[in-house]
Amino acid sequence: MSGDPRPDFLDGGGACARARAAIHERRDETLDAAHRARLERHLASCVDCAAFGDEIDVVSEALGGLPRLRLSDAALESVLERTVRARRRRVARAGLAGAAAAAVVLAAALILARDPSPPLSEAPDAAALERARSGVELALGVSGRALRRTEEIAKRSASARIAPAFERVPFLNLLTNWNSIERNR
Amino acid sequence: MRGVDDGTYETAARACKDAVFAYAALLLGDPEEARDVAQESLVRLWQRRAHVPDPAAARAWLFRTAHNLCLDRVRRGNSRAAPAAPGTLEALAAGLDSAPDRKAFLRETAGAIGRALEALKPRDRGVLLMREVHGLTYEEMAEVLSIPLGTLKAIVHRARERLRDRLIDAGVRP
Repeated sequence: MSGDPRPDFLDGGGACARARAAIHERRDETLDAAHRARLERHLASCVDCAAFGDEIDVVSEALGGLPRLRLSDAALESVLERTVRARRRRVARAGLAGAAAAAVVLAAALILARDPSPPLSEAPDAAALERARSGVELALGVSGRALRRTEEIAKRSASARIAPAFERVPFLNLLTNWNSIERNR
Repeated sequence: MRGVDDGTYETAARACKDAVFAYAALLLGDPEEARDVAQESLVRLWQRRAHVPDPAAARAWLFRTAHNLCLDRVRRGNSRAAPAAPGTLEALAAGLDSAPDRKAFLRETAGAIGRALEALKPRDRGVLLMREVHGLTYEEMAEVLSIPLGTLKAIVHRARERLRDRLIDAGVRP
């Protein structure tokens, strides 16, 4: 209760109800000096309101004196691991990846800068061209043989995978057998 | 809005963890549930840190989150706070302490205060804990609970009187 002081606010009917509201405000420290002085005069002459005031003060003090409970340090550490420290780890990992990428780019730039091959404007001699052609033909031959070999291996392993599958599934097995029977007729 | 950065988050989490846990423990009457609520509130603060304007706002933000999580658990009935765990708050209140002249009296009535707290509705218990135990201002509480200041003051005053009435009903005359 503040602003325009009304020291007479506890006069007349309903004074005790207003006094009790003022007791709460006194407890909340929102009652100005003029109203407080008037309240004290009322309490001095009203036993019930005085008792009410004491009881409210005791209740508030009792609550204010409740033991201070603590969240364990382990519980807080668990939260920090999941939040701020997880983010710090992500940022550190991103920094390492960036540094690695930068190192690769730098290394490539250094290698290119030291490349001893002649400039493209210089025409290669006939012997060099022949060696290059032989090299390409050799590489193509090896690649072709390797490709054919890979295809054969793939076909064999595919049939090896499919056959047991037919054996595991009764319905497919029946179909396979039925085809054999039909072919033997 | 700048939001809360990583370092500020950790500082705010360390500063507020005990208050949020204590609030949830006394509201739910169950320290295990309260630990879950406190941890979840802190994780949510991290997730929403960009929307928390400054470190000073973090405390009210944490209380609001913890309060809502507690009430969700009470509504779902998976917390022992519905009704409050018999004897839990009484046991917590057994550590009551206050000014020397009131100390002996408060220690004697600690159990009764715990039982009286348990008997209150979660909303009344919540506003009393915020105001009387954790010292939130009415402005902070109005933000936490999203209710007008005048309405909030009336709720706190009535809750105080209900706690007083419970104590008197229990034969304790403060």
